[in-house]
Amino acid sequence: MHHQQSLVLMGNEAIAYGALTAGVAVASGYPGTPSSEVIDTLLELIASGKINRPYIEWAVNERVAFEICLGASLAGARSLVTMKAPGLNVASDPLLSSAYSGVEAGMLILVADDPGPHTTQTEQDSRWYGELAKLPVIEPSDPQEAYEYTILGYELSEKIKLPVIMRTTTRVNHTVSDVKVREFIEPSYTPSFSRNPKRYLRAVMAWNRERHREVLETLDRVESLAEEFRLNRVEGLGELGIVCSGAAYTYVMEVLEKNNLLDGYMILKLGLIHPIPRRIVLEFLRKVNGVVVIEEIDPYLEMKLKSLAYDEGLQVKILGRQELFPRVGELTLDDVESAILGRELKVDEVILPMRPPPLCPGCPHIGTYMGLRMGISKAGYKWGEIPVMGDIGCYALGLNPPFEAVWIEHSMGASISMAVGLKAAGYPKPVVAVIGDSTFYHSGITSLIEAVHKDIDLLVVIMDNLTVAMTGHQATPEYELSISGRRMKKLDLEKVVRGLGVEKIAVVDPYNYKSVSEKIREFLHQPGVKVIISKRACAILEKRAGVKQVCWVDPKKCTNCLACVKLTGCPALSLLEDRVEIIESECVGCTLCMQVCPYDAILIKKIGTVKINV
Amino acid sequence: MCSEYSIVIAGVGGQGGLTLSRVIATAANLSGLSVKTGETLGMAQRGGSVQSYLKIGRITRSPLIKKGCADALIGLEPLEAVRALRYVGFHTKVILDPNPIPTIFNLVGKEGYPRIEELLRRLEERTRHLYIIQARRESEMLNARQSANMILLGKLVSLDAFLPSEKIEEAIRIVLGERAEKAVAAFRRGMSL
Repeated sequence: MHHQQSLVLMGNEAIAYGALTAGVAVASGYPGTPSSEVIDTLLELIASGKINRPYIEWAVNERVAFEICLGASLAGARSLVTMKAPGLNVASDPLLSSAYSGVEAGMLILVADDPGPHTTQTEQDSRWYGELAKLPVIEPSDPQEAYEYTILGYELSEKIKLPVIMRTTTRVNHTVSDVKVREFIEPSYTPSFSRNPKRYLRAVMAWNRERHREVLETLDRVESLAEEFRLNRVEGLGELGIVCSGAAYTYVMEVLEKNNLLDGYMILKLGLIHPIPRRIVLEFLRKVNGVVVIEEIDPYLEMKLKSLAYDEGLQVKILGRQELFPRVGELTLDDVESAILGRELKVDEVILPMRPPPLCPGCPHIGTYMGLRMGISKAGYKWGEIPVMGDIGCYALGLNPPFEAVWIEHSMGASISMAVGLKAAGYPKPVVAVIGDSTFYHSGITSLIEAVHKDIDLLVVIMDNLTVAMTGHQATPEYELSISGRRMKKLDLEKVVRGLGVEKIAVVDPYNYKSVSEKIREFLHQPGVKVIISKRACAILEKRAGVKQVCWVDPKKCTNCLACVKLTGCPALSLLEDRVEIIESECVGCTLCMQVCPYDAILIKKIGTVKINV
Repeated sequence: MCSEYSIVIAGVGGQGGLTLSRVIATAANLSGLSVKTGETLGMAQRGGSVQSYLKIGRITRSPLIKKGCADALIGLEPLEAVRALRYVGFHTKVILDPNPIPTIFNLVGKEGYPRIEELLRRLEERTRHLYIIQARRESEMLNARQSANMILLGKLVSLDAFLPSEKIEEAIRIVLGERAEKAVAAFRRGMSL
């Protein structure tokens, strides 16, 4: 790569490029929208031979990824750990201790918040973690800044010997923009690790108290460093103040520029969110005649500003998320414009039929849910009578028709432990937990240990599609070969489950849904923990590898009874012109529809091996 | 071109809306312009509603578009085009493939798909510039089934030359690699419709 180059990059790609320009050596994370493309990009660059770094791999969960990166940093390697907002909750234990150990080489923690939310279980504002963990938080506003801040983050981290949190939101992570990037820098360090008990050992309380004091003193230096790095800036000379950070800054500038209002306003754009830069904020508050704070999710800056103004006895009026904006959801340009112009926002939302994402054509989860429904019925219960505790992943889409299967979907691994809770409370009927393979390895495994140890009557179905499907097919512990080229030791899920002490285990093929149902029927009433592994690769991966057969509907035999559609919900079945047809380009030939057709009107057609670009 | 051009692409996950957006963004970059794209997508790999937003100009700030302010809406599917109605003003060019993709609720018989005439009426109430293009059928005739979106893009470029067509063709080649030739042919077909 030459000196400086303008590329079209997604925010997450820009972060990956920034890390490479900063000489990152170790990167890890757990996939989660909208953060996944950072590690994906690094891995693709390795796969295409464009870069070579010591260790860039997905981890089993966020806390493990975090600890890998912290350890690497203590060994002298610049490290990057990435996750979506709930992932930082998973990693919060090592996060809070990391201020006490500090780092050697720079460590950047990318946490991608999701105002909206578009793809996340909670609308979490991770900026609060800065205060909780006593670590600096920086927030870029667009892909170019995401690139620059990534690099600055490493410099800041090394100056203060603490990890730095970079908080982004979907509109930064997933925005594609022209981005100017500089050359990548090869990591240069000699791995080493020295003993330093007061820093690294947490078993001596006096040391912990001393480190706490040192960390607070270090944080006091961050404001001056932020000035040096120009992380915060004031624009405009007007009387009316706007304080903003992140993507909200781009909305503010756009609204002011398009309404020719720049002259009337003074804008404080904060790149350092924690610790709040007191000098620049107070100077700003003294200059302006009223302030509007514009930020994503919580009134974080607004509360900080109000507290600073109160301490200094400033009378300036400060309004923000609490007064001028919807308290939930993502900001829009229209929200920002009406807040700045003081206009009432007219809402004329169109009410239309929803289009929730269905399970994909030939998705193995379709067969598992068909088997679950039939098995529960064979065991003497009505569908909808037995709680099906869901988990985080594509299979949560079993909440939609035709299955309407999952009763609850909470947090990674919670399906099993919350099912244990139902039984602990004395819930009288059988309980089923459904969980994906990657979610099982991520957190479900500890829940299963609990269930086995307490000998809870519980049926667990692990829907093993051999990948992290929902976020774009990242590696699980069952991958033998990483995209990076690393040879990995493949775990065997059945052996893992058996090793945890589960005695009743069955491995079934979801494309044979009756075999799934038979095991469900057999296991549902049995005492203790039972595990069914419903195993079949994600249909998208299968399609990429090559489809060998497809199904088709013989119009002479089809009575249009719609059993296929209503029992599978497969999107490859089309009802246009009121006749059932199978869209050949969508079909993966799983035969689930064929298995339920009462008239044998669905047949197989061999098509050689057709690889489909999906 | 004018100081800024904004496009909403509305479709169903898996239809290639994000790739189309990437092609246009790359063409803007090749033309020396600034670009921002954003997206609203569901949590799955495919099958849910997806909207992409693009802004192209000498300077661009955010990827978002204000209500009624899109210069163009590329509708890959009619229900999804109407879902993006908030961005459509009376100047907005709407390029629509009218072939519906049923939702899961339609498929299992829980609710019907809206009447196409009704969906078109809602678009026509907002804009004077609705162009109905049988992109999927046209692409099948070209034996380029995966390039239907390029036909819609070609049609838009023929109406509003917001980027030079040769830069778009160059961008198609960069983004699509080996699939590019069929896509370029589809783009040219769209230009001529």
